[in-house]
Amino acid sequence: MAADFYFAKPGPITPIGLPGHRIALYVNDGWLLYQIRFVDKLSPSHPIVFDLGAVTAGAVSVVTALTNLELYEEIPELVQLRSYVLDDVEMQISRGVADILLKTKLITTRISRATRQIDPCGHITEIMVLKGDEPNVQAINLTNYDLSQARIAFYGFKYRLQSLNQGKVVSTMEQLERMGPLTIVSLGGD
Amino acid sequence: MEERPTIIKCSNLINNTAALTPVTLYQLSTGRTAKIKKIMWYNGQPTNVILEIGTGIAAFTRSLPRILCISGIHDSLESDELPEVEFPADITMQVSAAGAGDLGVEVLVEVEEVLG
Repeated sequence: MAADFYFAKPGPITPIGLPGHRIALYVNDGWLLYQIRFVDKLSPSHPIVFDLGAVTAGAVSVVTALTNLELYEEIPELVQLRSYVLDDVEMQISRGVADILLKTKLITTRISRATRQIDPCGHITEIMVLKGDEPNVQAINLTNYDLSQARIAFYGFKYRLQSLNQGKVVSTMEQLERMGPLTIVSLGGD
Repeated sequence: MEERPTIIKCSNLINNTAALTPVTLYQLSTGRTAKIKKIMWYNGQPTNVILEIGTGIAAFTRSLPRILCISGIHDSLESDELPEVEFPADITMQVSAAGAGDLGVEVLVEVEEVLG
Protein backbone atom coordinates (compact mmCIF):
# COMPACT_ATOMS: atom_id res chain seq x y z
CA MET A 1 0.00 0.00 0.00
CA ALA A 2 2.80 2.39 0.88
CA ALA A 3 4.19 2.15 -2.65
CA ASP A 4 0.89 3.17 -4.22
CA PHE A 5 -0.32 5.80 -1.81
CA TYR A 6 1.84 8.57 -0.53
CA PHE A 7 1.85 12.25 0.14
CA ALA A 8 2.73 14.70 -2.68
CA LYS A 9 3.05 11.94 -5.27
CA PRO A 10 4.37 13.28 -8.58
CA GLY A 11 1.92 13.27 -11.46
CA PRO A 12 -1.80 14.04 -11.49
CA ILE A 13 -3.17 14.24 -7.97
CA THR A 14 -4.09 10.85 -6.51
CA PRO A 15 -5.62 10.01 -3.13
CA ILE A 16 -3.33 9.24 -0.20
CA GLY A 17 -5.47 6.20 0.53
CA LEU A 18 -8.83 4.55 -0.07
CA PRO A 19 -11.60 3.69 2.39
CA GLY A 20 -10.23 1.26 4.95
CA HIS A 21 -6.63 2.41 4.55
CA ARG A 22 -4.84 3.81 7.56
CA ILE A 23 -2.92 7.06 7.60
CA ALA A 24 -0.50 8.72 10.03
CA LEU A 25 -0.61 12.51 10.10
CA TYR A 26 2.72 14.02 11.10
CA VAL A 27 2.29 17.18 13.14
CA ASN A 28 4.36 18.76 15.92
CA ASP A 29 6.90 15.90 15.81
CA GLY A 30 4.35 13.15 16.32
CA TRP A 31 1.77 11.17 14.38
CA LEU A 32 -1.99 11.07 14.67
CA LEU A 33 -3.52 7.84 13.42
CA TYR A 34 -6.71 7.61 11.44
CA GLN A 35 -8.53 5.20 9.18
CA ILE A 36 -10.18 6.50 6.03
CA ARG A 37 -13.95 6.01 5.98
CA PHE A 38 -14.82 7.85 2.79
CA VAL A 39 -13.10 9.72 -0.04
CA ASP A 40 -14.63 12.61 -1.94
CA LYS A 41 -13.28 15.14 -4.48
CA LEU A 42 -12.95 18.93 -4.53
CA SER A 43 -13.10 19.94 -8.16
CA PRO A 44 -11.17 22.99 -9.45
CA SER A 45 -13.87 25.60 -9.94
CA HIS A 46 -14.86 29.12 -8.93
CA PRO A 47 -16.01 28.37 -5.34
CA ILE A 48 -12.56 27.05 -4.44
CA VAL A 49 -10.68 30.02 -5.92
CA PHE A 50 -9.76 32.60 -3.28
CA ASP A 51 -9.16 36.24 -4.16
CA LEU A 52 -7.16 38.18 -1.57
CA GLY A 53 -8.03 41.42 -3.36
CA ALA A 54 -5.83 44.25 -4.56
CA VAL A 55 -2.15 44.25 -3.65
CA THR A 56 -0.18 47.34 -4.57
CA ALA A 57 3.31 47.24 -6.07
CA GLY A 58 5.82 45.71 -3.68
CA ALA A 59 3.21 45.23 -0.97
CA VAL A 60 2.14 42.25 1.11
CA SER A 61 -1.50 41.43 1.74
CA VAL A 62 -2.96 40.62 5.12
CA VAL A 63 -2.91 36.99 6.16
CA THR A 64 -6.29 35.67 5.08
CA ALA A 65 -7.99 32.62 6.54
CA LEU A 66 -9.62 30.41 3.93
CA THR A 67 -12.69 29.85 6.03
CA ASN A 68 -14.61 28.35 3.11
CA LEU A 69 -12.34 25.32 3.48
CA GLU A 70 -13.75 24.69 6.94
CA LEU A 71 -14.30 20.98 7.61
CA TYR A 72 -16.58 18.93 9.81
CA GLU A 73 -15.05 18.09 13.16
CA GLU A 74 -17.58 15.62 14.61
CA ILE A 75 -16.66 13.03 12.03
CA PRO A 76 -13.07 14.19 11.49
CA GLU A 77 -12.34 15.39 7.98
CA LEU A 78 -9.10 15.92 6.12
CA VAL A 79 -8.43 17.50 2.74
CA GLN A 80 -5.52 16.98 0.39
CA LEU A 81 -5.04 20.10 -1.72
CA ARG A 82 -2.89 21.20 -4.60
CA SER A 83 -2.93 24.80 -5.72
CA TYR A 84 -1.98 27.17 -8.48
CA VAL A 85 -1.75 30.93 -8.52
CA LEU A 86 -3.75 32.94 -11.05
CA ASP A 87 -2.24 36.40 -10.65
CA ASP A 88 1.33 37.62 -10.60
CA VAL A 89 1.84 37.27 -6.87
CA GLU A 90 3.65 34.82 -4.66
CA MET A 91 1.47 33.07 -2.09
CA GLN A 92 2.67 31.98 1.32
CA ILE A 93 0.58 29.24 2.86
CA SER A 94 0.28 28.44 6.54
CA ARG A 95 -1.59 26.02 8.77
CA GLY A 96 -3.57 28.42 10.90
CA VAL A 97 -1.88 31.79 11.11
CA ALA A 98 1.52 30.89 12.50
CA ASP A 99 2.55 27.49 11.14
CA ILE A 100 4.00 28.44 7.76
CA LEU A 101 4.31 25.55 5.34
CA LEU A 102 6.91 24.89 2.62
CA LYS A 103 9.83 26.20 4.62
CA THR A 104 13.37 25.57 5.78
CA LYS A 105 14.89 26.76 9.03
CA LEU A 106 15.63 30.17 7.57
CA ILE A 107 13.31 30.76 4.63
CA THR A 108 9.74 30.14 3.59
CA THR A 109 9.05 29.23 0.00
CA ARG A 110 5.95 30.33 -1.84
CA ILE A 111 3.73 29.37 -4.72
CA SER A 112 3.77 31.61 -7.78
CA ARG A 113 2.74 31.49 -11.41
CA ALA A 114 6.19 30.10 -12.18
CA THR A 115 5.56 27.09 -9.94
CA ARG A 116 3.16 25.66 -12.52
CA GLN A 117 5.79 25.96 -15.23
CA ILE A 118 8.42 24.11 -13.19
CA ASP A 119 6.01 21.63 -11.60
CA PRO A 120 3.06 21.24 -14.00
CA CYS A 121 1.34 18.56 -11.90
CA GLY A 122 1.52 20.73 -8.78
CA HIS A 123 2.76 17.99 -6.45
CA ILE A 124 5.17 20.41 -4.76
CA THR A 125 2.18 22.52 -3.74
CA GLU A 126 0.38 19.63 -2.05
CA ILE A 127 -0.75 20.27 1.51
CA MET A 128 -2.94 18.38 3.94
CA VAL A 129 -5.51 20.17 6.06
CA LEU A 130 -7.08 18.52 9.09
CA LYS A 131 -10.37 19.74 10.57
CA GLY A 132 -9.88 22.90 12.57
CA ASP A 133 -6.70 23.78 10.69
CA GLU A 134 -8.00 25.70 7.70
CA PRO A 135 -5.09 27.22 5.79
CA ASN A 136 -4.21 30.89 5.75
CA VAL A 137 -2.64 32.54 2.73
CA GLN A 138 -0.75 35.77 2.20
CA ALA A 139 -0.04 37.37 -1.17
CA ILE A 140 3.24 39.10 -1.91
CA ASN A 141 3.42 41.40 -4.93
CA LEU A 142 7.04 41.43 -6.06
CA THR A 143 6.28 43.50 -9.16
CA ASN A 144 6.47 47.25 -9.58
CA TYR A 145 2.83 47.53 -10.61
CA ASP A 146 -0.40 47.35 -8.68
CA LEU A 147 -2.53 44.25 -8.95
CA SER A 148 -6.28 44.46 -8.61
CA GLN A 149 -6.63 40.78 -7.73
CA ALA A 150 -4.56 38.08 -6.05
CA ARG A 151 -6.14 34.72 -6.69
CA ILE A 152 -5.15 31.21 -5.69
CA ALA A 153 -7.05 28.10 -6.77
CA PHE A 154 -7.20 24.76 -5.00
CA TYR A 155 -8.40 21.25 -5.86
CA GLY A 156 -7.98 17.84 -4.38
CA PHE A 157 -9.55 15.11 -2.29
CA LYS A 158 -11.52 15.15 0.92
CA TYR A 159 -11.49 12.33 3.45
CA ARG A 160 -13.76 11.36 6.28
CA LEU A 161 -11.77 9.69 9.00
CA GLN A 162 -12.05 7.50 12.04
CA SER A 163 -9.59 8.16 14.83
CA LEU A 164 -7.32 5.25 15.85
CA ASN A 165 -5.10 4.70 18.89
CA GLN A 166 -7.75 6.47 21.05
CA GLY A 167 -6.65 9.75 19.50
CA LYS A 168 -3.24 9.52 21.17
CA VAL A 169 -0.16 10.87 19.47
CA VAL A 170 2.44 8.30 18.39
CA SER A 171 5.81 9.82 19.09
CA THR A 172 8.42 7.38 17.74
CA MET A 173 9.01 5.59 14.44
CA GLU A 174 9.26 2.23 16.30
CA GLN A 175 5.74 2.68 17.65
CA LEU A 176 4.56 3.69 14.20
CA GLU A 177 6.09 0.62 12.55
CA ARG A 178 4.21 -1.63 14.95
CA MET A 179 0.95 -0.15 13.67
CA GLY A 180 1.42 -1.97 10.33
CA PRO A 181 1.17 -0.54 6.81
CA LEU A 182 -0.07 3.00 6.59
CA THR A 183 0.47 6.19 4.60
CA ILE A 184 2.44 8.89 6.36
CA VAL A 185 1.55 12.45 5.46
CA SER A 186 2.72 15.79 6.78
CA LEU A 187 0.36 18.38 8.20
CA GLY A 188 2.95 20.90 9.37
CA GLY A 189 4.29 21.98 12.72
CA ASP A 190 7.79 20.79 11.91
CA MET B 1 3.09 30.08 -22.50
CA GLU B 2 -0.10 30.30 -20.46
CA GLU B 3 0.25 27.94 -17.50
CA ARG B 4 -3.17 28.78 -16.08
CA PRO B 5 -6.47 27.19 -17.13
CA THR B 6 -8.04 29.36 -19.83
CA ILE B 7 -10.79 29.26 -22.40
CA ILE B 8 -11.21 31.21 -25.64
CA LYS B 9 -14.43 33.16 -26.01
CA CYS B 10 -15.85 35.83 -28.29
CA SER B 11 -17.76 39.01 -27.60
CA ASN B 12 -21.03 39.92 -29.22
CA LEU B 13 -20.76 42.13 -32.28
CA ILE B 14 -21.09 45.62 -30.81
CA ASN B 15 -21.98 48.63 -32.94
CA ASN B 16 -20.85 52.00 -31.56
CA THR B 17 -23.56 54.46 -32.52
CA ALA B 18 -22.56 57.56 -30.53
CA ALA B 19 -19.32 59.49 -30.24
CA LEU B 20 -17.28 59.37 -27.03
CA THR B 21 -19.86 57.21 -25.33
CA PRO B 22 -18.28 54.19 -23.60
CA VAL B 23 -20.05 50.89 -24.14
CA THR B 24 -19.31 47.38 -22.95
CA LEU B 25 -17.44 45.37 -25.52
CA TYR B 26 -16.94 42.19 -23.50
CA GLN B 27 -18.63 41.27 -20.25
CA LEU B 28 -16.20 39.37 -18.08
CA SER B 29 -17.35 36.17 -16.40
CA THR B 30 -17.46 36.15 -12.58
CA GLY B 31 -14.06 35.85 -10.92
CA ARG B 32 -12.14 35.70 -14.17
CA THR B 33 -9.72 37.94 -16.02
CA ALA B 34 -9.28 38.16 -19.78
CA LYS B 35 -6.74 39.01 -22.43
CA ILE B 36 -7.70 40.17 -25.91
CA LYS B 37 -6.43 37.79 -28.55
CA LYS B 38 -8.05 39.43 -31.57
CA ILE B 39 -9.91 42.66 -32.34
CA MET B 40 -11.85 43.14 -35.56
CA TRP B 41 -13.61 46.36 -36.55
CA TYR B 42 -15.39 48.14 -39.37
CA ASN B 43 -15.73 51.90 -39.57
CA GLY B 44 -19.01 52.95 -41.18
CA GLN B 45 -18.27 56.65 -40.74
CA PRO B 46 -17.38 58.91 -43.70
CA THR B 47 -14.23 59.94 -41.81
CA ASN B 48 -11.52 58.09 -39.95
CA VAL B 49 -12.24 57.53 -36.25
CA ILE B 50 -10.24 56.67 -33.16
CA LEU B 51 -11.21 53.53 -31.27
CA GLU B 52 -10.26 53.29 -27.61
CA ILE B 53 -10.29 50.03 -25.63
CA GLY B 54 -10.27 50.06 -21.83
CA THR B 55 -12.38 49.57 -18.75
CA GLY B 56 -15.20 51.49 -17.10
CA ILE B 57 -18.34 53.10 -18.40
CA ALA B 58 -18.87 56.05 -16.04
CA ALA B 59 -15.12 56.61 -15.80
CA PHE B 60 -13.56 55.15 -18.91
CA THR B 61 -9.82 54.38 -18.71
CA ARG B 62 -7.93 53.42 -21.85
CA SER B 63 -5.87 50.23 -21.54
CA LEU B 64 -4.45 49.98 -25.06
CA PRO B 65 -3.06 52.67 -27.35
CA ARG B 66 -5.67 54.35 -29.50
CA ILE B 67 -6.52 52.52 -32.71
CA LEU B 68 -7.06 54.38 -35.99
CA CYS B 69 -10.06 53.02 -37.88
CA ILE B 70 -10.02 54.11 -41.51
CA SER B 71 -13.30 55.20 -43.02
CA GLY B 72 -15.21 52.47 -44.84
CA ILE B 73 -12.57 49.83 -44.11
CA HIS B 74 -12.51 46.71 -41.94
CA ASP B 75 -9.31 45.74 -40.17
CA SER B 76 -8.03 43.65 -37.27
CA LEU B 77 -5.25 43.14 -34.77
CA GLU B 78 -4.23 39.64 -33.74
CA SER B 79 -2.48 38.17 -30.71
CA ASP B 80 1.04 38.57 -32.11
CA GLU B 81 0.44 42.32 -32.36
CA LEU B 82 -1.45 42.75 -29.10
CA PRO B 83 0.29 43.12 -25.74
CA GLU B 84 -0.75 40.73 -22.97
CA VAL B 85 -2.91 43.26 -21.17
CA GLU B 86 -5.02 41.37 -18.65
CA PHE B 87 -8.40 42.91 -17.98
CA PRO B 88 -9.74 42.45 -14.42
CA ALA B 89 -13.12 43.94 -15.36
CA ASP B 90 -15.51 44.23 -18.30
CA ILE B 91 -13.75 45.43 -21.45
CA THR B 92 -15.27 48.68 -22.64
CA MET B 93 -14.65 50.97 -25.59
CA GLN B 94 -15.49 54.31 -27.12
CA VAL B 95 -15.03 55.88 -30.55
CA SER B 96 -14.38 59.48 -31.57
CA ALA B 97 -17.32 59.56 -33.98
CA ALA B 98 -20.20 57.25 -34.79
CA GLY B 99 -23.77 57.21 -36.01
CA ALA B 100 -26.72 54.89 -35.98
CA GLY B 101 -26.97 51.80 -38.17
CA ASP B 102 -24.54 51.70 -41.09
CA LEU B 103 -22.79 54.81 -39.75
CA GLY B 104 -21.67 52.90 -36.67
CA VAL B 105 -18.26 51.50 -35.82
CA GLU B 106 -18.61 47.75 -35.39
CA VAL B 107 -16.17 45.98 -33.09
CA LEU B 108 -15.75 42.38 -32.04
CA VAL B 109 -13.09 40.82 -29.80
CA GLU B 110 -11.87 37.32 -29.19
CA VAL B 111 -10.60 36.91 -25.64
CA GLU B 112 -8.79 34.32 -23.57
CA GLU B 113 -10.43 34.13 -20.17
CA VAL B 114 -8.34 32.99 -17.24
CA LEU B 115 -10.56 30.78 -15.10
CA GLY B 116 -10.83 31.98 -11.56
